Amino acid sequence: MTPTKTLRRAAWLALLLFARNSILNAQMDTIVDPAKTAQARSEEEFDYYLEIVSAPDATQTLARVEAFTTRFPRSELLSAAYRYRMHAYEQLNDFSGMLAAGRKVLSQNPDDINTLLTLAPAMATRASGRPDREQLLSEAEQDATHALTEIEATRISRKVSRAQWSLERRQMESEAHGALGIVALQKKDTEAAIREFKTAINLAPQPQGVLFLRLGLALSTTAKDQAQDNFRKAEELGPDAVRRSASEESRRLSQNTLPR
Amino acid sequence: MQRQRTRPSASFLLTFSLLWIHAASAQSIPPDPKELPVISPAAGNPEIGKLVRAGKWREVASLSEEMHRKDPDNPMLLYWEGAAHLQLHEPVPAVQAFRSAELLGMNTALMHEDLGLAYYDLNQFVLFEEEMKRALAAEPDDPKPYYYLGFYLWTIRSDASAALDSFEKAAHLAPDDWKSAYQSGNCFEQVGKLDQARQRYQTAIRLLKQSGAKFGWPYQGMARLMLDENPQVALSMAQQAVQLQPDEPSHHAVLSEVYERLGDLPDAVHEAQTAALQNPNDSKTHYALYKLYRQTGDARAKSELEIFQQTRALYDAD
Repeated sequence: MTPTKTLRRAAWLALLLFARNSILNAQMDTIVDPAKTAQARSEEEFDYYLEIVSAPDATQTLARVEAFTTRFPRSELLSAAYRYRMHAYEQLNDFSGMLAAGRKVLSQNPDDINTLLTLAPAMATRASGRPDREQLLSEAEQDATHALTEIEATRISRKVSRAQWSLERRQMESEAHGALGIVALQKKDTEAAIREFKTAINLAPQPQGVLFLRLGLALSTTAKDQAQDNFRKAEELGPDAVRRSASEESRRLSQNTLPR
Repeated sequence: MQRQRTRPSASFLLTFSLLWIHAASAQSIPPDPKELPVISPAAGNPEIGKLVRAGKWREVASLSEEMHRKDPDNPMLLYWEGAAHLQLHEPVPAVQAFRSAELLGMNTALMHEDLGLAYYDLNQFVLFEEEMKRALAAEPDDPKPYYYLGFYLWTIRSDASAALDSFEKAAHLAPDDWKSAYQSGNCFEQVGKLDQARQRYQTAIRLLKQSGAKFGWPYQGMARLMLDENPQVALSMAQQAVQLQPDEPSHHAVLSEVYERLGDLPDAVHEAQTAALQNPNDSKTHYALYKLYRQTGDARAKSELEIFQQTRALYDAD
């Protein structure tokens, strides 16, 4: 046996292990097969790409992605550039821009877990009141389910330990189930919503307050005591916006349950 | 069992780069005759050179950045900024600094090599190859680009023949370099030319003995080659590999294999356990340990088989 390992055909990304926070890592560091990495064909092309990577803020990112995609419309790095655009719009709270950029990523790389897990909850939470509500909910459900399938099939780099992967995997699965919970809540399927949120909470290495808030909302029509427990937990965990919403929902639920 | 190979990380390449940079900062003639010769880019920057020799890369990055602000047309300062970031495993600012140096007219072999290594670190292999070609154009007798190209061709492209060609060129240009001799031996072994492989490993071992470097790979190579012909010699080679690099799991795995061949199952188990502990994500190591447990009637065989299956499912190609 020579030096350890075979990297060659191992499927793709150790994906997104760190991608939500460090997209460059996802693109270039945690991949299983470096030979399959998207390649710049000229130094100038890569200079422009690195300008995106090192952009100081979301607005600059958008400008630099625009410059890159205009100048190198056939680049293999386009998908990665669009992912930066998607996250920049996410930071700027521009749902339409984020959706358009995310769909471009998926048109080139339909199994991109990072994008699926970014779009699914965004579509589910923004669907309400929009004319394309049904389509958004349907796409959110498909993307979250697709993400779960891809996570299951993911092969990872040997640089990543099983314990580390287990945490990352649980976090990603939690996000997918959280998105499915929102879809179910929007469709008023409270039973499914409760199930999905509970799964999301159980899977998350460190469950966020918003999951308890949403579970509380799903429980509020059928199990008010449990709903209040979850609102309290959401208030404990925060952050402030979640804390305020949980407090408000808790008060509203209490008022509705007062004997007349 | 199928031969395995590793994709040595960019840091593996950088280790060698570091040696060369130290030599470069000292003077154009390396202090150690075993080191490959390079041009000295630090000659005009004694302050930076001092920090480089001390391996204080964070300070090199800060100082060169500060000096660059005062002297923006000096590409050498950008080069050192890039070199520091490269050593700090920060390839993005490294590429940006080297490219700025290049745009200011720098065209040295060393700059192209280091820029190429930064591209390699970012898995940008098209650009890496171009930079190595530019390095060779700038300095045709420099063995390092051939070495780096060989490394890339073997580890990323899995092209042992092409890699061999590059390593042989590197070894020809630097006949005292044990790294190139070892890599040539490994490629000869991969293409089935075992006599040449043995010859290169022996050369590498002879050079290593002269240099005193802690590098066990040629001993491991010899152990593999000798396993069928003379297991006792293989044992001695595998033990030396482990002695030189006790933290390298594949040395322990090969030593385990040799012990197994000699019928010494307790030692085989011990070495396989060490290999598995040092490289827990390698399914083949776990499989070897599982087989040894089974042979020895050890109850841990069942759990080891489960670990093997888990690691295979998670890390191995379909």
